[in-house]
Order: sequence, then structure tokens, then C-alpha cells
Amino acid sequence: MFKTEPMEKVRIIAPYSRKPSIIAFMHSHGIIDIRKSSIGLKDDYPAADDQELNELLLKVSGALKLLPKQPVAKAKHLETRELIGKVSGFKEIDAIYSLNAERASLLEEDKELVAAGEVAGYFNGTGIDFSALKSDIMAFKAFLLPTAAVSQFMGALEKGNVLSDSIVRQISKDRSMLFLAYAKDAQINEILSELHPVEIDLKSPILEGTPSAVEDYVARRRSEIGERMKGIGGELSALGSSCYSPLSNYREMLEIELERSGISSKFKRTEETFIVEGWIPKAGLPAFQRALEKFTGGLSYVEILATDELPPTLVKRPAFLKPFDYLMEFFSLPRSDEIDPTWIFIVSFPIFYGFMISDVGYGLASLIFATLITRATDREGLMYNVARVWQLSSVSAIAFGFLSNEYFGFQLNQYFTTFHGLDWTGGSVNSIILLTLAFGISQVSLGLLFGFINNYRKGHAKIAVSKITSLMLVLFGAAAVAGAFFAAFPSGITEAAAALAALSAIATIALSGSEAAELTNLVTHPLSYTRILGFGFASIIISKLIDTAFTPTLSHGALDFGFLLVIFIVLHFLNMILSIFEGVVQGVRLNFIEFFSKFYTGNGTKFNPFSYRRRSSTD
Amino acid sequence: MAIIGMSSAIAAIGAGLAIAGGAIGTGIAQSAIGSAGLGVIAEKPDQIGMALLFLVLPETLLIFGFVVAILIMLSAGII
Repeated sequence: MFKTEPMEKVRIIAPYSRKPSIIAFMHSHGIIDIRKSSIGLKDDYPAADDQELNELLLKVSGALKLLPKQPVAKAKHLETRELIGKVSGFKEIDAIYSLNAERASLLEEDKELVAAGEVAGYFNGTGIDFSALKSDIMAFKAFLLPTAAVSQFMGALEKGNVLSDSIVRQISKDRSMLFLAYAKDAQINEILSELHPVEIDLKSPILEGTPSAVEDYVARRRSEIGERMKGIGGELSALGSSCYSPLSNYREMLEIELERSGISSKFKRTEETFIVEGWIPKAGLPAFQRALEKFTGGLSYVEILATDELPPTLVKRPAFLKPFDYLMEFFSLPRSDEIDPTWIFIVSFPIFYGFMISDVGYGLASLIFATLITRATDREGLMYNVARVWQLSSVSAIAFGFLSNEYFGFQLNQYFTTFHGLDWTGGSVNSIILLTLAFGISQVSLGLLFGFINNYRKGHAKIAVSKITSLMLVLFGAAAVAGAFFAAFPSGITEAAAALAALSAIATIALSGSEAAELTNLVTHPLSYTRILGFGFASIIISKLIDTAFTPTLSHGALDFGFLLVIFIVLHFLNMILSIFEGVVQGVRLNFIEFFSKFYTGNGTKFNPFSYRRRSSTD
Repeated sequence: MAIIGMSSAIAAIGAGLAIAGGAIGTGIAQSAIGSAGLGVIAEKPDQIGMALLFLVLPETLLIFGFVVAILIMLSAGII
């Protein structure tokens, strides 16, 4: 329950002539985390077709991106050379790229047409023919500039006495178009560079003839382009119907072949054999050995290696609890040689979260929001996994809400049960604070016990004993406080507990060395769990205040009712968001800081088997 | 309006001060951690979890203030 899967490091020696099929065998089994072999032999290298596979994969992936998505039928995996032959001969890929190139060219042309149409619009009604703007002795330029700047601009040009002709046309409230005709040898560029106007491109080959002729051409050509774009869309759709499925199959097969080809760089080799090293879960090793022996006809040899290396971490848990593992990984993966505390996190986080929310209404709303997020997000992403944890924890919030008799701040238990629940704002505060302290003492004690086990296993005897003395300090200290302040024990027991706590503290300081400063944490960390009361209390008080001030009633008319209802909903929503955020953050924090700091090292390496999750092909 | 005795009033003020002290201390600490945390997230967005955890660390100060306030109010019979 608290252990990661035991691992064995193995070395596989097999005939080089059978390498591709043995790699495929290992890939299909997906049980070995292959590492770079450390044996002093020649390095192996990827197969010769690695480059070709890579290029084909890029080509197929690119083609698939251009096709509309279609359902994919599964296909049987092809052998490398057959796959390369099939993909290389798949003529439709070139047709797809050709259609895409045509589409890109038409889009470019359309952009130029739009720009030319706009320029023609500026010149409409000016009497200018674009064909006449080609001359050996004259130059023509047009600019866009703010209307307010036209006179300054013209003044500067007239002062330079370089213009032969000019047209000013206001094209909007604030902007004007300025057309200039001047002798080619006129010194105009110096004046223009000082004024920084926006030049209109008159060199487009589309600008031929009168502005209205250009506009007609632009409209006609754009319509033709629109038609052709529709045609291309149709052709790509048709290609998608026939090619999407096989191309998806090929992409997956190419990815698999590339993985298989690339893994050789971790191998070593001799003239006749190749050597693979890696980690295999102990439980699966015998079956793997038997299967490999049968597959190779007894020509392979699996040797179990004795090593000091830290094995990778593999945890096995029911699928619906995987999001908790995801959060653990997000924080830090447990090392394979230490206790895996995920089960404690799985149990305690929903309790802390539920206790801090303690409202049936907020719990139900959390459940709905979390469910919506899980449906809208990617299963592999952080949001999905956080939402799944939130979803499971919302059930606890509903349960604690019932125990606290809180329904959006209202008390409703009396309508269906005689159980009136905890009174957070009155008589139950004492009990709740003791309960949260009990949570704290239990979890910190468990953390110290785990710390003892971890250190004992690693041979750190002194630190292991200091964890036990720390545990004694926490437990005896708690008993002494309970006896002194809450009269939980007779004075004799209280005094004995206090004395033992003092002795434990001295022993802890003596044993911990530089870590003795952590002693204060043994007091503050259990106390830190009272935040469960603090955040729960704040949430409940705020919801009661909202109910007191803004519960809508019809006594002052429908308008008042509607107004109060909106405020009521908005404020409860804000309080709920605040409570949920604090519930999640504080629930995680109590585990990761107060609990884990007593024993957890983390930074484990995830078990990463050589495998591929097939989606559109079969082995 | 309920009238409370002088001792209860002083206890209530004491409880308020306990919370206020914790809140001010937490605020000062969180302002520094928060800005540093945002800097980290800007560089490495995947570190948001760690940044958030560090941000909530000093809230312990406020919690201690809260616990003291509750204990004062319980012993004064206010709640």
C-alpha cells in the first residue's frame, strides 16, 4: 500500500540478427524501462532507415494536418520496409500538398487584390488612368496622411518647387489621399523623408486601366478565387474521406518504427550479439523471461544485475485515483526506496477540503463545476486532474455540510432529520478546534513514523531514532497539554507526560544535530491544522452574513426581490470561489508541508517503459 | 443591542489584535513571496504549484493569531 513496485535491473543478451524482431517484442510488451548500457563494449546505433522514417513521418503528419478529421479504422502494423514502401508510394500525399500550395497562392493573390481594390477606391472619380502612370520622364507617388497634415505637406512640397501636378482627396473624416506627379529628377525624397507619410503602392500589376476597371477586375477575380477555394476545400474533404484513416495508421506505425529504431542508441553490441539493459517490475519479470525465451527459441539470455542504482518509481492504483498520482508527480514523485504517502494524501485531502467547505450547497456547486471541467479538458492535462480530485473531494464537502447543517448558510437538517449538526459559530468551536488538532497530531505523528522507517531502511540509525524521540515529544506533549488545559487526564499522568516530553525534546536535540532547529516545527505543525477551523469558520460566517443581509423576499415587491436575488447569488458565488480556492490550497499544503516534511525526499524518477499506446493500429 | 461587560470587551479587543497582528505579518511576508513567485511563474509556468505553496506558507502566522483569538473568546465566554 505504501510501497512502490519493486524493480529488478536486467541485462538482455540476444543475437544481433534478430534485433528488429526482439525490439518489436520488447516494445509490444511495454514492460522494460531501457537505460543506456554501461557495459564496456561497442555502442550500437539506430537502423539505417532512421532518417527515411523521420522524413516520411514529417510528410504524413503535415498531410494529416491539412485534411479534415475523419473516423480512423484500425489497421495491422506493417514491417519497416513494407511501411516505407507503402508510404512512399502513397500518391495522394503529393496531391494534398499541391492543393495546399494552390490554396496558399490564391490566398496571397486575394490579399493583393484586396489591396489593389482599396487603392482603386481611393482614385475613383479622380480621372486618373493607372496605365498612364508609366513614364520615362515623370514619377508618380500617392500617400495616405491625416487630413490636418495635408496643408503642411503641400506647403513643404510647393516650397521645394518640385511638383508638376497633385491631387488631394479626402477619403474619410480624418484621412486624405495625396497623389503627386513630378519630374523623375526632382529632389523630392529628401522632403518626403522628413514628413514620414504612408506611401500607397502603385506598382501592383493589378493596377491597369481606370480605377473602376480595376475594381471590376478585382471583384471578378476574387469571386473566381472564392469558387476555387471552395473547390479545393471539396477536394481536400474528398481526399480526407479516403486518406485520413490510412494516413493516421501510417503516422502511428512510423512513430512506432522510429521509437524502435532510435532505441538502439542505448544498446551495446558485439559482432554477433546486442546487449540491452533496463528496469523491469519484479512481479512481471518471470513472465517476460519466459515469453522472450520462447520468442527467441532459447537464443536470448536475461541476467539480473546487482546494482546500487536507485530504481525508477512505479505506483499501481485504481484508475479513478490516478489524478492524485498526477498531483503527487506535480509536487514531487516519491523515490522508489521510500514510503509512498499517496494513499494518505488520497484519504486526508478530501477530509480537509470537505471540512473547510462544510456546506452542502457549495459542495454540490463544486461537484457540478468540477464535472463540467473534466468534460471540457484534456485527460492528460493539469486542469483535468485537478478537477477530478476536486470532484471526488466535493462529495466530502457535501457530507461535512450535512454534519454542519449548512446549506448556503441556511440550516435545513430539521426538515428531514433530527440531527442538528455542528454549531461552527457557537457551542461546537471547542470540539472542532480539538478535532483539527487531533488531525494535526495524527498526521504529524504518522509522518514521523514514516520518517523513522525511511531512515532505518537507508541505514541512518541516528536520524531514525531522532524521529522516534520526536514522535514521543509530539504525543507526550499533546497528552500534557490535554491534561493541563482540558483536564483530560489526572495531574499525575499530566506531569509524567510533561516530563517525558521534556526528555524526548532533549534526546531529539542531541540526535538531530543541525536539524535540531526543526524542533519548533513539532509544535507549530500540529497547531497549523487549526487552519481547517479558521477557513471553515470564515466561509460559514460570510455565507451567514450574506443570508442575513441579502436573502430575497417578496415583501418589498418584485423589483427588490430580483435585485436582492442577483446580489445574493453573486456574493455566494464569490464566497464559494474563495472557499474552494482556500480548501484546495490549504488541503494540499497541510499534506505537502506539515506532513511530508517529516519523512519525504521525493524527486523520484518515473518508470518509463519502452512502449507505445496504440490508437489506430494493431500489433 | 446587547450590552457586554468591560472584561468581555477587553477580551474581544485582545482577540481582534491577535488576528490583526497575524494578518499584518502574513501580508508583509506574502507580498515579498508573491512577487518573487510571479517572477518564477513568468520564467517557468510549470512551477505554479510550488509558487502557490510557498505563497500560502506564511498564512500559519494568521492561523496562530486566529487560534489565540478563539482561545481568548472561549475563555471570556464570548462564544
